[in-house]
Amino acid sequence: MNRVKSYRQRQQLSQQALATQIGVARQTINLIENDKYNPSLALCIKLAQALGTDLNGLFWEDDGDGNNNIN
Amino acid sequence: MATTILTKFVRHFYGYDGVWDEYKSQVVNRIGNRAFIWLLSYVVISTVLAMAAAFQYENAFWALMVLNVLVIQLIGGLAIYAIKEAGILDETITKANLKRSRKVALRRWLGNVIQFIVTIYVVEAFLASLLNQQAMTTTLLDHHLMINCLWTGLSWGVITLIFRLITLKPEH
Repeated sequence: MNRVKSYRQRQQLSQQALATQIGVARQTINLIENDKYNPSLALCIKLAQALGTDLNGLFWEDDGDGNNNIN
Repeated sequence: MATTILTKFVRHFYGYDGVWDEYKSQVVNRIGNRAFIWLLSYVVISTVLAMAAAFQYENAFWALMVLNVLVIQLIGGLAIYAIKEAGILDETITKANLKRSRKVALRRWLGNVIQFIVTIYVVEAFLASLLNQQAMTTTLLDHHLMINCLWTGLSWGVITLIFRLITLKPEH
């Protein structure tokens, strides 16, 4: 599960506000948050910039052993 | 995202006014490719049927008419259904704007049906005039062609209207 939703909520942004900011439809944000759509790298970067984080913060998680797992 | 003529056509065809992003492009391309493959297969079958017209004109004509309804309309209906399922027509419909959304959908549907009938009528008349080496005016006045195109267009219209009205529901 990616962390787009938690970062968005932390920034107090609605799905619509985030979608408008990066130029996609609200439904696309919803699909990304629910892992139903894998966005392109360009869109991932836009998301990370809009949410004030980087790609690791949004899409990678640490399994506790110092290893990163892709979402 | 860059707007191409194809994108504009797709947006107009599906009556979509919202933001067009990479997800929508990918879904429309995927569904379009599938529909194209099925339609191409149908072209092969219908060509064989058209060749049979040399031997049994009436039977081949009726077989083509029924197949047009079953295949083209089914593929068109399924494509629209698949696009709705994928969340492409993402106009947020609420109880308040449901009536207006239905009116807009009906107006667009009527326009699409008329465009569809006129297009297939002109294209089929043109192809028939080429294949039969007749004047375009002769093939345009062929009542078999008129019936075929009207029947095809209207049945396609009914199926797409049913799909559109079923899927036009307010969000909870």
